[in-house]
Amino acid sequence: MQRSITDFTLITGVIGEDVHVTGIRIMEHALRTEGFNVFSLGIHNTPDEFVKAALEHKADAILVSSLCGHAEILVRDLRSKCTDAGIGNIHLCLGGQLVIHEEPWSTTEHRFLSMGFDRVHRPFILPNEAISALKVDLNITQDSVVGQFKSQL
Amino acid sequence: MQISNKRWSTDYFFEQRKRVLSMWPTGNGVSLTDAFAYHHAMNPLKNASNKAMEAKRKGLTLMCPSTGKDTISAHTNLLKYMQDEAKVQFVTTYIDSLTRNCKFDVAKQELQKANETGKPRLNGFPVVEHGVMGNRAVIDALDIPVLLFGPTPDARLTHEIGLAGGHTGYSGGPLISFWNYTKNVPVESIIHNFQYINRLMGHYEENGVPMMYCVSGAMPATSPPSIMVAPEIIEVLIAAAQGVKHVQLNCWVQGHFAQDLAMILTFQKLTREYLDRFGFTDVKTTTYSVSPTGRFPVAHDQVYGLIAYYAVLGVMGKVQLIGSRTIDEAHHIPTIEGTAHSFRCAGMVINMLQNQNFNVLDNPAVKEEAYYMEIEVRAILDKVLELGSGDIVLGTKLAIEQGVLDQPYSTSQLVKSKVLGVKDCTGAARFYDFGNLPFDSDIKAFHLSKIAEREKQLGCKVDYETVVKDLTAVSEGYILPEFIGSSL
Repeated sequence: MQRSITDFTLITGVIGEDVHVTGIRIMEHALRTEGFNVFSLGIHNTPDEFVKAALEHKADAILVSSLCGHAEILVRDLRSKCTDAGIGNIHLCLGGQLVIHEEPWSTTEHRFLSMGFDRVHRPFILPNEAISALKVDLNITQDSVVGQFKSQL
Repeated sequence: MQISNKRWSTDYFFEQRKRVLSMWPTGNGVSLTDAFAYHHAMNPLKNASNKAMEAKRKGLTLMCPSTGKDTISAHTNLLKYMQDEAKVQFVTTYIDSLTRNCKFDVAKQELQKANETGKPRLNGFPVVEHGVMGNRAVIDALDIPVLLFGPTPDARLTHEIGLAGGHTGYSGGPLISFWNYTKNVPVESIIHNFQYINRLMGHYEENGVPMMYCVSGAMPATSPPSIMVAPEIIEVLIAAAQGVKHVQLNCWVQGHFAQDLAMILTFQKLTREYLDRFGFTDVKTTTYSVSPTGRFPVAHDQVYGLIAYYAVLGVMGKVQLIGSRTIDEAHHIPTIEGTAHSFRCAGMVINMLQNQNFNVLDNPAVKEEAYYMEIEVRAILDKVLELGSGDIVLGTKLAIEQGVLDQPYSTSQLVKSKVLGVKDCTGAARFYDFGNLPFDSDIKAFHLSKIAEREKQLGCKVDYETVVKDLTAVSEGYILPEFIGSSL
């Protein structure tokens, strides 16, 4: 049976010692407007806290935000922790300012894809772009709720 | 934890100090006697307070980027480049976020990797791991003042090492650290840590070394300025009680000319008034202006426009220091070259404007903004003092619990976070939601009338979507989202 957007549950939050919260708050608002169930962890979360929340809420995806440039230090064991917890196939998405040095985007993207993320977003994308990609990734084809963000942002 | 705004006793400070210095092995390398001697031997104009006061006397606007690299050589090269190529008059040591959260062990590991590979690993300078001599290696290579930079709930050891290492000031504060840098740390424990830092700075002052403390209040996000100014004045009063003598007021400018200039004026006026009211008449103030972080335009030429705009604002507001965002802000953590280009742009604007002494501060629009800002700040501060029975620290704790002090988009779960700002039809920040702010009907009517004008311009009610779109409008090249793509 086709699942509608309202059947999908997402865990969102900022990882590590990073504190940049405004972007993920706006993203959460857009995701909720679109119809997703969103459980927000706010800032200062360890990989274990993401995994625990995903288990508790039977989540379909974990959306990790990181703007401090330390993502490589902070996210490297998230996939293996998911696997250890029995949710190895959960969709993992990452976005923000991921590195502190200048390098081609393809290098950055590849670095985090090879750490086990399924989708890695460029800095400062707008919510509609991330939501479109998420729908593709989660095979959501039929919208039960028409989001306002699609046309506005 | 029961705390108040009373000056710490010498015994209490030195008892706390033993614990702080034992947090990490490099703490053992701090000697205050040696630190005072090091500072006394320094060129007086390499001291931040002296230089900022000199700028105030001469009516100059100087520049200060906020940057930091992990290794001693990378950080030294960065700051020297800023001094020599970007021609800034102050620089900062941006503290890496691991050190800021007292994760000294991880910072040490990553610093080792950076030293071994030559590739950057940390988003700032790990002040604690480098120790006093590591900090001095950087300071000694420069001719201009260096400040520590970065809000955090516990920068006590960072200050012990950073100040002994030759830094002559700090930018941050207990309330910005609480609202914007913590998840569940009680405000009283953060204030306690800052009382330590302030007492340490006071101790330097008493030993003939001026230390500049730049308060920051709260990070704005379309925030009416009164909710930044009120917490900043609280930070000033906390610092003054512990003996800080040189305070710098961080004027967060958000892009609305009249409102931003009014903030710069009102902030100075009320800080002086509240300092004097509590007997801190010998505390000196200077000003700093900077635009908040946020989504930035991608195109460099658009960002140059913004940088120039904010530089004009700083000169018109007669501030002593300006910070600036950088042309590459939207792409990655700013590069050395990107930062230098940005400050050269700001410097050109300053060089054109500052000797003209052109006065826009008496403009009626500035005065109207200042009028409401002043009664809003007074309403908040007087309620905080009432709650604390005259003690600003006790009052702050209760005021946060009640939402009398409040912030939008706070990272802390201990904050009401009911207030929310939206732009009016000229781009000034107004209250979309007053939360529990202690405002009278006159103040509320002013904000509501401004929002009604915006609704007329929009042709619909202002809602949360408007709030969100206001936050990203500048990154798309316009002050208001409804103007995006418009032309004559």
